[in-house]
Amino acid sequence: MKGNRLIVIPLFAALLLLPFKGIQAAVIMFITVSAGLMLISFLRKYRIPEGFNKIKAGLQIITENSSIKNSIIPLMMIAFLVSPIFLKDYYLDVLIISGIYILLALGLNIIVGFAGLLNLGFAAYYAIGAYAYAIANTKFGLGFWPSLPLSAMFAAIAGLIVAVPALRLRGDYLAIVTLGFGEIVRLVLNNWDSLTNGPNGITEIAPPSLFGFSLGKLQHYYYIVFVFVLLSVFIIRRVELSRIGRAWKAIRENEIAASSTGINATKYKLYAFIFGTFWAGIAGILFAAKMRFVSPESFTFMESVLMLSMVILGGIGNIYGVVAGAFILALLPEVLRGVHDYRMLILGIGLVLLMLFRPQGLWGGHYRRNKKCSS
Amino acid sequence: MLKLSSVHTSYGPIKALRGIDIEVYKGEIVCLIGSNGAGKTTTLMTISGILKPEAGDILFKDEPIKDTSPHIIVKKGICHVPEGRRIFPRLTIMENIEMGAYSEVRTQKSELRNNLERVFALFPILKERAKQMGGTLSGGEQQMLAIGRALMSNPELLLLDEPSLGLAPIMVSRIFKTIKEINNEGVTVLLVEQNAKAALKLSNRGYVLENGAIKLHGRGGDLLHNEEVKKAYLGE
Amino acid sequence: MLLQQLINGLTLGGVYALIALGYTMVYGILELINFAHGEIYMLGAYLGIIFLAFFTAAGLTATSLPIALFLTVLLTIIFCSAYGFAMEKTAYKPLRNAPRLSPLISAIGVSIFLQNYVMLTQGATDKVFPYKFSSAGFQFLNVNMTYLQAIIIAVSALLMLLLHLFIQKTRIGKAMRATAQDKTMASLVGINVDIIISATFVIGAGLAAVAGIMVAAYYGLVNYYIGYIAGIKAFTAAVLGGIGSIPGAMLGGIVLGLVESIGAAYISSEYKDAYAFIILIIILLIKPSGILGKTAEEKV
Ligand SMILES: Nc1ncnc2c1ncn2[C@@H]1O[C@H](COP(=O)(O)OP(=O)(O)OP(=O)(O)O)[C@@H](O)[C@H]1O
Ligand SMILES: [Mg+2]
Repeated sequence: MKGNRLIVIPLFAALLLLPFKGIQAAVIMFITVSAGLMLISFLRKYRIPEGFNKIKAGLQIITENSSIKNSIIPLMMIAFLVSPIFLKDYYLDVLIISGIYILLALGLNIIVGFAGLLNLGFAAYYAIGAYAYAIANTKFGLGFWPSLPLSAMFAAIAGLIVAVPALRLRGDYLAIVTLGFGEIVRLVLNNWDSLTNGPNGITEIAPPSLFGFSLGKLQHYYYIVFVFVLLSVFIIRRVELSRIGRAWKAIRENEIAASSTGINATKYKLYAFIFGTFWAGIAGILFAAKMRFVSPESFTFMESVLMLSMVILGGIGNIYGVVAGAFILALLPEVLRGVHDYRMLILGIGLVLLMLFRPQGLWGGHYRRNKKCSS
Repeated sequence: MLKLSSVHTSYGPIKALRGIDIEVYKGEIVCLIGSNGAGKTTTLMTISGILKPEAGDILFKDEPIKDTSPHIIVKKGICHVPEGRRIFPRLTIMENIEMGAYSEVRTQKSELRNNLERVFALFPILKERAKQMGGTLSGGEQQMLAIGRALMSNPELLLLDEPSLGLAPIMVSRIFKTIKEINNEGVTVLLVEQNAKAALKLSNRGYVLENGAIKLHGRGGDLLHNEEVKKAYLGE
Repeated sequence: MLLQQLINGLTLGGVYALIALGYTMVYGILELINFAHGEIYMLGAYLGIIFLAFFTAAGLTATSLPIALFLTVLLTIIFCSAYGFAMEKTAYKPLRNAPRLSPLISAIGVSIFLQNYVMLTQGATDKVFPYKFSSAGFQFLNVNMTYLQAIIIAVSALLMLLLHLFIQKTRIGKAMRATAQDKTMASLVGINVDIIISATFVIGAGLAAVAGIMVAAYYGLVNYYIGYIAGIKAFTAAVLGGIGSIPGAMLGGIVLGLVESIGAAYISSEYKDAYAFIILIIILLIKPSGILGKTAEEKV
């Protein structure tokens, strides 16, 4: 690193902060950034990154060793299965929410990861699933189980309605249309008072019940969500390995080539949208049943971004990576409890850093790096 | 003036140049011939800094330029007219020509005007259409514009990639005459051409490129009579 | 009534257009939706308030208001441009050859970061503009136009005119257009493409800064999340006019402003924010190239 950069960059950062937080903060900024830069150039000089690479390579051997892998997964399953016995309600609550996020991330991963279509409004389908149950239950007295297919279907139909016209658009335009749809759904939930009760939301939603027994305890929710997560991993994995899954990957890698081998790209993209939003609907009904309350506030753009971050963090397209990514980000607020206010700030920086240094995500293997030839 | 020594360039996994040695002396016209895909365009792009060589050295006036950015290389006096016309389609013809002189901020106004006169004298059509968008010109006219634009920058070394491509025979000979004229004014030229016969006739020396390596090199006239060259590139 | 809405819509539209220009210029050169551009506008609103409050505390506002306002605008433009510059260098430039998804997600990251950065440094509550412009105005075709509205419309128009002249007539402006059309060729004629890209971000940020100050003065209140919604609307304006087209962004901004204020008055004000999205979706579905955009060249 050139010498003058060690002065210019920290100075620039300090000046940017100055009007917002005053001189003291600016000085601290200057010192922090200088120290950071010096540390980096020091590490570079002594080739410490290479040492890190060795550690990474070692870890890779462990994670790729199938006997270790095969024993870890059952162990984790057992741990999750018995944990309600030990865990305090608070932690159980966190795990349930994590499970719902895992379902959401798995659904979004079908669209973003498998088919390569960016979706920035996934919270909309989640909201539709949640409100479908909330309304069906409070207005028409429908129970959880009969509402389950209803919620999933409503979300999938919404996915279809957006996808049919929007799939003609190119990547980032598609992303913006999905974002627009997400905002419209939120605005409708906020303003259609007679149906959704506006910003106040819908309360007193019934918990699920089975053979007349109410399943309203946290442990019950925990196991329900757990089963749904297992089921969805199993089903989605099956679909991924099927002909449809292969078609998605072919389209993602090169749509033109895929089309020329006779794959109807539009049809398969539609499948991805429907199948992905279907899981958002299921996550929605679980959320509504668990919270027993829904309001538009739970389905903002930030939620959509959070879901996308989960998919990206773990590794786009890799189911297990996505599960891990969702789990990590869902737990993050608890881990960062001490610096709670900085949570979103860290998420923002994290997204940028992830794109800069590991765009394929933590566990993503093959991420298309289609370097455009310089033109 | 320009010296490439064992230059290697790749596009990802594809190795396009496998150790090229080329030398161009001041005041020469040197031509580079070879079949399609031999690596001629890649060679020029590597010289002008669009592509970075993986190995080897490039010296321009004894100064290494292999890690220099393209816009600095232009300022040092190398002007590259790339393959295909690559004019700016939504800039007017006049603006396209002005862009050619972009790096000549320190050049006298009068000299720039002389350059402009020269371009217009060479290609009167450009003057007629000066206000039209570049993209509305025909293919051959765009080629004229591309060359005209290059002449605006007072280069010391001109890299021309198939300047005769798509031009009518009469224009081709005019272009070649122009190249000779420019050269007489002291501009060194490195020329890539499919039209090997005309190019070799014009050039002091020539290199034959095959599969990313130099196969032959020699004086223009000698290459013209070389049996191998005759068979492979002159169609005789 | 309708005429009154036209005035309101024009005021709003001028602001949208100023922000939209930043989206369209960056898209024109990098094909990147600079998702964080709305945050620059938000920074502009905050910085305007911070600097004006500073000058007020220093007594400058009381003694000579025009100088205080001028310095506020100048400093805000400088700082916003610096933020735009830093944003490009850190979050986008390293990703220039990456797949399209990467810079978009990086941009979302920047957007989240800047929102929370402002919230943490300036607090989550509304910020009040330290100077109250008089609500006086003048009669104009039977409707009331406040002086501030007139200023906003005039400043927007003036800046757009200046930008137009800059892009069309100056050496750098021509280089920007050349770079947008063919980056490799631009570098071969000696244009430093990196500087041109930085300049694009800096100019876009400067325009957004002015938009931010004007909105802060107009509504009197700002919050750290105003950038997101304004950004989406300005992006809509850019797409509406034809993304990549500078006159298109101006036209799109004004059309959107008019639709919004007329829609709010005659249809429903609750759904005011939805109009932009509905227009955006309709435009993208019917004519993705926008009103003034070049016809879509690549469809994949
Ligand atoms: N952008 C690229 N990506 C991958 N490979 C490339 C690229 N450009 C060129 N190549 C390959 O590099 C080799 C050399 O190409 P180059 O364009 O230099 O040939 P050339 O001699 O100029 O041919 P022509 O006479 O057809 O213009 C070819 O095999 C070509 O396929
Ligand atoms: Mg070639």
